[in-house]
Amino acid sequence: MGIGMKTAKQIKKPNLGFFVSLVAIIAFFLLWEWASRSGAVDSQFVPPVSKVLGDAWALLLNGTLPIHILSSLARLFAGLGLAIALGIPLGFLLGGWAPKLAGFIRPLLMNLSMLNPFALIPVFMLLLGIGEASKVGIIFWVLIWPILFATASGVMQIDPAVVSIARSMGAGGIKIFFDIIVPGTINRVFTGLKSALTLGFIVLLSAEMVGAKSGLGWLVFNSNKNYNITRLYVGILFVAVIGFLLSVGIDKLQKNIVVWEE
Amino acid sequence: MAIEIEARGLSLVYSIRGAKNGRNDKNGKVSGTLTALENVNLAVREGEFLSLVGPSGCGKSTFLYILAGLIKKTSGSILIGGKEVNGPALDRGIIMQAYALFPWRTVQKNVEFGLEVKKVPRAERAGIARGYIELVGLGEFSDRYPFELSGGMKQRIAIARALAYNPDVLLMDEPFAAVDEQTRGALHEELLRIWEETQKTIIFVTHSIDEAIFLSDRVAVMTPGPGTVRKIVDIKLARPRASEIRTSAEFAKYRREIWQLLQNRTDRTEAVVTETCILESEPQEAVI
Repeated sequence: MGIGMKTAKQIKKPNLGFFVSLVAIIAFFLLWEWASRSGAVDSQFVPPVSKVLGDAWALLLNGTLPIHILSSLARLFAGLGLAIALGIPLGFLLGGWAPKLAGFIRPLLMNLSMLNPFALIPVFMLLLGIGEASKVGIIFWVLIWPILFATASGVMQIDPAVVSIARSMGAGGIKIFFDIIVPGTINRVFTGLKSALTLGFIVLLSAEMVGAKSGLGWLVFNSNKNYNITRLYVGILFVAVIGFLLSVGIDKLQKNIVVWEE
Repeated sequence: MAIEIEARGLSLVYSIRGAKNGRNDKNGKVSGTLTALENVNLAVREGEFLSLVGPSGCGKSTFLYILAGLIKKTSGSILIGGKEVNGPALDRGIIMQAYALFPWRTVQKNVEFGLEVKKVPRAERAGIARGYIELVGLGEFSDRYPFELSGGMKQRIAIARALAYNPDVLLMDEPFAAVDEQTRGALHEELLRIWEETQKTIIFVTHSIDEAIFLSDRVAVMTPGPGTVRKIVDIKLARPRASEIRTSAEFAKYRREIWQLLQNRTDRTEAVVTETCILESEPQEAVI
C-alpha cells in the first residue's frame, strides 16, 4: 500500500478544507471592505482592507515590516532554543531516570508552570531589565513547562514491552536511549512544542508592548499610540499571518519527522 | 540429542505488599511473599519444540522471562547450552503476544535491530534482514511501518526480527493469542515450516491445548499455586503436520489427557488461582 498510498495522495483532488478556508477568508475581507467603504463601520477606526494591504505592501518593501517580524522571531526562537535545550533533557531525566524524584517535584513544577506569564512580565523586567534579556526570559519561561512535561510524559508512555524486547536482544543503555526512548517520545514533544509556541507567541507580543523598540507587538502598540490606525491593522494582520505560518510550519515538521504514525 | 536448556529446582518468590498470607509490619502495612514458581525442573533438547501449557497465573510466562534473562530467579539454576542464564543475550530470541515491534522503524529496520546490537556491518545487515523477511513471506512489505500491517503480519515480522540475529533458542510468549482463528492456523503451519528450516529450539507458552499439541514435540503441563511443571506429555504425532491432524483420534486423545491434567488442578487449587493471577501483569513491570 505504501507506494500505492503515495500515488493516491499525489493524484488526490486539492483539499476541500483548504478551499473552504480560502473562501471564508476572502469573504471576510470582502465584508470588511464593504463595511468600511459603505460606512457601516467608521472607516476612521476600521480602514478598508485594501488600504491596509496597500500599506502592508509598502511597509514590506521599505523594510519596516521585515525588521519587526525578524526581531519578534529572533526573540521567540532564542527563548524556544533555551527552553528546548533545558526542557527536553530535564524531561528525559524526570520521565526516565528519576520517576521517584519526579513524583516529589512534580507538584512544585506544576505550580510554577501555572503562574500566569502575563503577571510575570513585570517580575522579569525587574530581574532582567527592559532589554532583550527579559523578553527572551519570559518566552523561555512560558515554553519550558509544556516542553518539559510533554517530554516526561512521552518517556513514561513508552510501551515497556518494546524496551524489554530491546533489552532481550542485549541492547545497552545508550542504544535504548537513542533507538527507543528518543523516537518513542518525539511525537509527544511536538505536541508540547505546539501548545508552547502558540502561547509563547501571544506572550511575546504583550512583552513587546512594554519597553521594546521593535517587534510586531511594539508595532501594534506604537501605531495605536500614534493613532496610525492603518498601521495598527497591518500589525494585527501580520501577527495573524506569522502565528498561522508558525503553526503550519511545526505541523509540517512533525509530519516529516514522525512518519510512523497514522 | 543434546540438552539445550535445563532448569533445576527453579523458584521465584516475589515479596509483595498486601498479600493475603502476609503479616502486619510495624508501619501497619501488610507484606508477604508470593511464590510464582516452585521447584521447576525441565530439560529441553536441542532443536526441540516444547510448549508450556497452563491456566493464567501458573507462572509459564514468568518462566519464559527468566529464561530470557529479563526476570531474576530466586533460587535454583537455569542453564542454556550449559551456561547459567545471567541476563539477556543474543543466544535467545523472544516473541511476545503484543508483537512489541518498534513503531518508528520500518519492517526492514525492525528486523535489523538485533544485528545492529551485534555490530554486523550495514550492508550485510540489510541482506540478512531481507532474507528473514522473505522467510516469513513479507518480502514486499520491508519498507512499511508496523501501523500499516495486520496483527498476523506484525507477528511474522516479530518472528523474523527474533530469527535475524540467529539465536539458538526462540522463546514465544502466547504469540498467536491476539490474532484471529484463520490467521492463527496459517501461522501455526508457517511456524512449523520455519522451525524445520532453521532448526531452532523453541519454547512456546500458550493456554491453548490444541495449539500446544499441534506444534510440539512435548507439552509441559503447568499448574499454579505455586507454579510448577505437573507433567510432560510426549506428542508422538507424525511430522510434517497438516491442519487435518487436529481432527484425528490421536490428537483427541492428547487433548483429553492434557485437559484432565489441567482439570485436576482446578479442583485442587481454585482458591489460589485468583491470588496468583496478579502475577500475570508482573513480568512486564519487573523488566523495566
